[in-house]
Amino acid sequence: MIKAFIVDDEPLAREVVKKHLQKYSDITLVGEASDGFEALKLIPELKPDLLFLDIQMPKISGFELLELLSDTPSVIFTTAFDEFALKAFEVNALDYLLKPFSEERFDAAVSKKRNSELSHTTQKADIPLQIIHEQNRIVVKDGTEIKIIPIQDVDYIEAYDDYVKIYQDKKYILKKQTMNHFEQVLPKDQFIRIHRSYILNVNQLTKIESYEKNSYVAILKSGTSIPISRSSYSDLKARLGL
Amino acid sequence: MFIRTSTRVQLLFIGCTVLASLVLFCLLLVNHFPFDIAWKDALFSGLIISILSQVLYFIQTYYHAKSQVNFSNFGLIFMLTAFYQIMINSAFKLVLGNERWTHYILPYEGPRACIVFFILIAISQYWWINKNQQIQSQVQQQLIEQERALTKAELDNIHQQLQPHFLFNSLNSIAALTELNPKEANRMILLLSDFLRGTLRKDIQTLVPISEEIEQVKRYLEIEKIRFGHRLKTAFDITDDCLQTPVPPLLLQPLIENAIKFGLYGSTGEVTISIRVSTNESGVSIEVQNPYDPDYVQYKTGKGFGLTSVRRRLSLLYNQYDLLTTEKQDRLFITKILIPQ
Repeated sequence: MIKAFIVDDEPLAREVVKKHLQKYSDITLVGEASDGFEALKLIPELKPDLLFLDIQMPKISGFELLELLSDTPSVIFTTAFDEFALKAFEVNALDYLLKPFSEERFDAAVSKKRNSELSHTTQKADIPLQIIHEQNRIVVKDGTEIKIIPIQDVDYIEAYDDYVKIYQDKKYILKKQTMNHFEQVLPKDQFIRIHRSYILNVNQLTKIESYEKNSYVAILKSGTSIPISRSSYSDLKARLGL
Repeated sequence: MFIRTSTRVQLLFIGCTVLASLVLFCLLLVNHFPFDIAWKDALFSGLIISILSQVLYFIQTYYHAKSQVNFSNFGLIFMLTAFYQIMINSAFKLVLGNERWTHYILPYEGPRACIVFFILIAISQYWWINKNQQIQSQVQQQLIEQERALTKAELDNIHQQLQPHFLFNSLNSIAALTELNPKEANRMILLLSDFLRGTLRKDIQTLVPISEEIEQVKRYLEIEKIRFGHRLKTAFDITDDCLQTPVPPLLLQPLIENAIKFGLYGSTGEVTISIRVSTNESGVSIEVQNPYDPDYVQYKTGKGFGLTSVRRRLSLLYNQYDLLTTEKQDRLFITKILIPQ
């Protein structure tokens, strides 16, 4: 039995998916949510196997919802054609349905999940969602609270095993994400990877101090100092126009 | 052009002065003036007139008179002529001595003054025309800029009309309704086609009565209500006396879209968008209100030129730059447009 869950802010859009699901005896709809927050509460409880997910929703987007979930089910995006479709993250989606979609198209998407259930293999999307676009906010889970941090408020990001520490005024929030991801999605004119373990918001930089011979540290407005790797020092200098 | 217009004009002018001085020099020689008087006169006159013409140039450039012929200018030229006479006479008296001055210079005082006066008038007029052309080309440039800005605003507007997200989601709702509630599906199709017809208006320049604009907004919000269900509520408060006021077409659309974007996508609860139209002493005021969350950071969407394009259109149409204002009252975002009377 496949447990399905629908996240869409439009009631009628959920109805469409529900109606199409009716004919499958091996799929049960375990729940639905009209926004990301609701989904974030229900999904860990209900543990669905298949998620029908809209992208543009109130407060947090479908992509951001996925980032916040610790266990992600297979995802079929259902979205109207818009810039999100083109600027998708590197998300492992099963399929991508453009609204309005035909029943045949829906069946084709669902069959990928059913086939993988049968053969116990996971199938990836036909459409590689690899086009990355710059982010202007970071959504994080702080305990039970969901925080939306505007990127200009981020001082720097530090690698921490499988996580990163996102620093704001000397305090940090953990997020399960890679440094490479942030290096790509943060605006290049504002954030620079100055070290294997550090990405710096250049607007927070007050000075660069020489530490030892050929090694430097960046001093932030908050007083924190973070190391600059030798290879990125020249990059940083060039970016600052020195 | 390698040399700036004013520099080019100045070079031309210097050329003319040199030529005029040479002509004067030849005329004096032909009329049996001694050689030394001829070249000195040509040199002095040329120099002084050059200096005076620069004075006139500055005056015409920085105090450009509206009419080409004006009395203060004549008075000034009269004084400059007198200045020239005094300079020339004292110079020659000094250089030639009293006797030769009485013989060669004094008898021609009258004609000389007359000729210089007319030369200076001509120069002054020349500078005036020159400056006038510059001003006119500047005005033309401004007109071109304005035209360009207007076209840009129109293009943005066309872009505004193409809202794929809204359109496809509406179609998706219709797809759902065809089975759930065919009657409602029919109503939605009619609303959507009326709305699209309204946005496909050909002439963006012709003003429409505000009542038409309100109808268009109502259609749009009606469609959004079907899409979002109970979450969206609307409130209209429109006084009847302003219904006929002419406004630019599709002016309110970006405001409403903005209200939806920040109202509906910025919260997860019920949202009321209110539209108030009223008349006051300065014109007709249109207010769009939506709840908003001050802490909410909008996910990057669109280019954010909705309100900017409205502001530009209004400023181009009414030549006032403060017709669109926005304010935040605790958890309310209010966009106001004033249509001047």
